[in-house]
Amino acid sequence: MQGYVFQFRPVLRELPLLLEGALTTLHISVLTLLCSLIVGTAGALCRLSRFRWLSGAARWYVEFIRNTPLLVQLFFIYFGFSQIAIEVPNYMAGLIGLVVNNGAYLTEIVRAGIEAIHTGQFEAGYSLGLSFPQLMRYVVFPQAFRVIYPPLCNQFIGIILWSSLVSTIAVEDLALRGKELASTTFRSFETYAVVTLVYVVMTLSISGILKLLGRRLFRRPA
Amino acid sequence: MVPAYVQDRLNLYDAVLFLQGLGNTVALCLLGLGLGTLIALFVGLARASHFRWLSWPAALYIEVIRDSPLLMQLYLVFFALPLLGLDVPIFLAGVATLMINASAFMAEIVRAGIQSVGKDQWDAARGLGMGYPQVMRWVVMPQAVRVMIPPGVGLLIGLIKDSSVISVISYLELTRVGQILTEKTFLSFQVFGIVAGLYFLMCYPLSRLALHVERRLKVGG
Amino acid sequence: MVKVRNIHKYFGHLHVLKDVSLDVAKGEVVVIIGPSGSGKSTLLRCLNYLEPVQSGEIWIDGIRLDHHKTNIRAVRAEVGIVFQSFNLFPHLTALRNVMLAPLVVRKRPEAEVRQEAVAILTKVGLQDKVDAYPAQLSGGQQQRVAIARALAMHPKLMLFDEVTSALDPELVREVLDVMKQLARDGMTMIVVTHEMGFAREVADRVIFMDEGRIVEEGTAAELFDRPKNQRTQEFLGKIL
Repeated sequence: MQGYVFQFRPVLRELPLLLEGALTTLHISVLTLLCSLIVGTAGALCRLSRFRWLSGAARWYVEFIRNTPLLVQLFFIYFGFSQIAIEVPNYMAGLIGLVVNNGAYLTEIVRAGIEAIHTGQFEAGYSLGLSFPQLMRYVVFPQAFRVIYPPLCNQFIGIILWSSLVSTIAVEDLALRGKELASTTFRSFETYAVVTLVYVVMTLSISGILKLLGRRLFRRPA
Repeated sequence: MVPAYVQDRLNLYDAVLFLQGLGNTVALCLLGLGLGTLIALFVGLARASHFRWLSWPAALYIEVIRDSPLLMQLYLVFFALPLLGLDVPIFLAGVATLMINASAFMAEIVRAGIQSVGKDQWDAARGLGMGYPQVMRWVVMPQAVRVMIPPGVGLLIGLIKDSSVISVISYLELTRVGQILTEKTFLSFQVFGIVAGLYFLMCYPLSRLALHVERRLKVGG
Repeated sequence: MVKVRNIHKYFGHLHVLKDVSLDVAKGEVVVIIGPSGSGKSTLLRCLNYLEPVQSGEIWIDGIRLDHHKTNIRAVRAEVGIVFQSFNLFPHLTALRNVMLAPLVVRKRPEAEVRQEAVAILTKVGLQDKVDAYPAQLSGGQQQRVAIARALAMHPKLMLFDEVTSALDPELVREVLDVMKQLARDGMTMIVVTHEMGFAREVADRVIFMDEGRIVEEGTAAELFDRPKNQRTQEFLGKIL
C-alpha cells in the first residue's frame, strides 16, 4: 500500500455534482427504454411478418447489433455523423446509439412475448372479426406484456449500466462527471469507488421498485 | 477542410494494425475468460453452499459486479493496482478487469449448473460413501458442465464485445485501432464498419454454436 | 448388525419418527410395511445418515452413527442403499456406475474393480448391458444396475427403499428375483416394500409402521394371518 491514505472527503464534498450526472444517466436511460420499446415492437412485428424480406431484414438487424459491441456502434454513429458533416449534439448521438442497440434486444424480447401467446387467441380474435391492429391492441399486447415485463426490467437495468459508455462521446452523465471529478481531486480510486456505489445503489433500488410494481400490475393469477 | 497530413484512404499498414488489434482482443478475452472461470469455480461453489457465511459473501460479490458498469470496474482496477504498489502494463489491467467481470457472471452459471443436478444424485453418491469433494468431482460437475456450456459460450460472446471498453485505457485492441485510424483518416464509417465487421465475424459463429449446443442438449436430455 | 435405540426425527414441526427402536441380526431379512407417510422410508434413510436424527442412537456393525464425518462415511461405505427412483448417474455407463465408488471411495485398482463390476452385473443378469447408459435401459434394468452399484462396495447391510414402486408391473419380478437371490446368499437386508408376496417368501421378520411408530412386528405368517393390532388389521385389509 506504500502508506496510501484513503480520502473520501474531497469526493463526497462534490456529491451533488455526481448526482446531477446520475440524473442525466437516468434521463437518457428512460428515453432509451421508451424509444427502444417502439423500435423493438416494430422489429418484432417485422420479424413475425409473412413477408420474407421484412422478417429477414429484422433478423439481420438483430443479429448484427447483438454480435457487435455497443461502444463500436456508438463510435460509428458519433464519428460517422461528423464525417458526413451533420451536426448532432452529443446527447442525441448517444441516445441514437443506445436506441439502435437496445432496439435489437427488445425486438427479441417482444417477439418472445408475442410467441408465448397461444395460437387459439389469434384464431379466437380473428373469428370475432377483429382486424390485425385491433387483435394486437386488445388481445395480444395485454397478454404479452406480462411475459415481457421481467426481461424488460432486466434490460432497463442493463441500459442504465451500459449508458455509462456515452461518457466516451462526451455526454455529461454520471460516468463523465466521475471522470472530471477524478481529475480535479486527484483522488481517482476514491472517486470511482463512490461513482460505482452510486450506480449499484441506483440499479438495486430501481430493480426493487420495478419488482414491487410488477407485483402490483400482475396481481391477477397468470 | 481536411488537413493536409490526413491520409485519404486505408492502406496495407492499416490492415496489419487491424489484425494486431484483433489478436489483442482475442488474447484479452481468452485470458479474461480462463482466469475468470477459475475464480468463478470457487465463487460459484461458495454461492451454492448451504453455509451462509460462504454463500452470502459470494452473493454480494456477484451482485456488486453485475450491478455496476464495466467501465467503472475498469477505472477502479486501473487506479487501484498502483495503490497496491503494482506497476502493471495496461494489458494486465485489461485482463484483470475482464477476469473479475467474467468471474461474477460465470459464478452464476456454475451455481445454476450445480443446482441443476438433483438431490437424488447427492443421495445416491452419499449413500455409496462419497464425501463432498468426490461427489462434486465425479457426479455433480460432469453433469453440470453440460448445462454450463451454452451460457458459457454466451458469456464469451459478451466478453468479446465488452472488451471494446478496454480501449478507454488506450490498450491497442480492436476498438482502439478503430479510434486511431479514424483520427488518422477521418474515414469513420469505413473504419468502424470494418471494426464492427471483425467483431461480428468472431461473435456470430459463436452465437450459432451456442444455439446448436443448446438444442442438442435439449434433445439429448 | 443394526441397533436402533429410541430415535426421534423431525422435519421442522413434523414429528416423523417417534421413539423407534429396532434390532436386526446378521443375515436377517426384515421387511417394513405401512401406509405412506408412516416414516418407514425416513427410518431407512436415517440408517445411513442421509437424514440426521434429533435424538436417540443408531449403531451399525458396532459403529455409532453420530456427527463425526469419518464415522458416517465409514458406515455409508458398509451400508448399501437402493432408491425408489434408481438415482443412477446419467453421465456414466452401467459399468462405470458400478465402478465409481470402489474406485474413488475405496481407491482400489481399476483392472480389479472392472473385473468385479462385470461379475456383479452378470449376477444381476445384465452382462450384455455393461456399456449402456441409464437412459438406454428399462426401469427394471436400471434398478438392477442400482443394486449392482451398491453391491460393488461389499456392503454388510443392504437397504431397499420401495425399489419396485416406480416400475411397470411386468418389470417388478426381475428386480425381486435379484433381491431373493441376495437374501438366499445370506445378505442382511432391510426392505421397505408393498410387495406382500415377497415379504411372505423371504422375510424373517415383518414390521408394521404407522404414524412414525413401530406398531407391530413378527414373522410374516404371524403378522399377515393373525395381526393383533387393530391398525395393522385395517392396513392389511385395505391392501390384501
